[in-house]
Amino acid sequence: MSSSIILDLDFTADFACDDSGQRLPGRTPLFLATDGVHGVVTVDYRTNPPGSQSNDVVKLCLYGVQNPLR
Amino acid sequence: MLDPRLIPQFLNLVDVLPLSSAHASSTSINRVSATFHVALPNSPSRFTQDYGNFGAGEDTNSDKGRHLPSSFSVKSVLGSSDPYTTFVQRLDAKVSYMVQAHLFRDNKLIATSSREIRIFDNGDPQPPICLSDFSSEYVCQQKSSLRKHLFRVGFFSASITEPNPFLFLSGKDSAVIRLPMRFAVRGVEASTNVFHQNAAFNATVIWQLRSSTFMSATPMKSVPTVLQAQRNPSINMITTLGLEHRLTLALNGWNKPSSSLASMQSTDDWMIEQELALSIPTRSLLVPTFFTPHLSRRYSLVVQVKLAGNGKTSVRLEVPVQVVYQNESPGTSRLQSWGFNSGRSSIDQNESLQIIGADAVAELPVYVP
Repeated sequence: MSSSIILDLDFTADFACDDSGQRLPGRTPLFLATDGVHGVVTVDYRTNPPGSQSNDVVKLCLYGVQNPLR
Repeated sequence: MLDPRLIPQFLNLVDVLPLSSAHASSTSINRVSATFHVALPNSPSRFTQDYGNFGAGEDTNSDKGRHLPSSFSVKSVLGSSDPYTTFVQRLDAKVSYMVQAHLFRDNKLIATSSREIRIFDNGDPQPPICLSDFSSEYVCQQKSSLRKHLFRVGFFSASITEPNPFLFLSGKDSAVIRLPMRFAVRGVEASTNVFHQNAAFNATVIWQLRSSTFMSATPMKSVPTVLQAQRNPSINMITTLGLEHRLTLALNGWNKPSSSLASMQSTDDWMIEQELALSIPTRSLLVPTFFTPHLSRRYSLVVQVKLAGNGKTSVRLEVPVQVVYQNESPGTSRLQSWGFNSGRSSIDQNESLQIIGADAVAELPVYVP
């Protein structure tokens, strides 16, 4: 069996989206603090023969880095 | 890109998304998606003492009112004014956020993806700045001699007050503010009254946005003045001037001051009031005004007026202005004062002072030192 996994992050609706909800390509997604950050994690399992791993989990981390920190 | 796990962070939020909805498909590609929503700890209970380890500490009430710093990056290089030294100070300030997704199978990491995002602080605007606390920084009114062929033929003055904030709303292309301006001219000798109602002038108004970023090693209680930043060794300041915007005005149809302005404006003056529309496109993603104990950003509007006509002169004014982001209709908890008091106390001027919204007086604005 051969397999590869592609993990992708997408932010579908942020402040900088246009009226149709489309974000300009290349622009860093912008969220307002009170709205929080929302999006979709997609995992593409490319396996032969077809299959899936229902026990997989995605750990999502949001970091904030400040320079100078304090 | 530098791994954020290797850098000290002020924010570290973690969520786990189970992929239980996975199912086998008939093709060799089986796609599984999971939506996520990370609520940012803008609420006071999620902050820790002195703004450290955001999201990982204990609840405390002492952090009420604190906010996330907005994403931004600014750099400055300061050289020494002493020609015999080669001292150069480089100042960098940056706040960045990143979302990382790690795919685990049986506690083993099998795939990773990361994206940088921007986060802007948002909410209701702060009340207008008390200009007397920043008296060395702002110029609400300036008077200058009008000259014609080297001779002084009169005086010109221009005055402005702090405008409403630049309010960026989702779905809007730009933020527009109305800047009320008052122009006045007066002849050298009041009796001859050189200027009259039909005197025509052309004014070129050049406006720029000045951003001031303050970085402090020790927690700040309020936005510092420039003087405080210069005197305090733990505070560094970076100021930048934005693009120049030009407007041309035809000033004619001068009037004598109305009775309500008679106490502030000489009866020898001829006066015109104009309201300028200043616009900034949303796509510029201007960093909002924000305050945190170690980083803050505020803005001012620099307005230069060049007058030409029956004499020439120019004046330069500067007033504070806020940059605010909101998702819905503008909030109504802004403390507003009406009138053209040029920074003097509204109460002293006996002008109408209205408090809109019960929360407006719950806390002192962070701009009050």
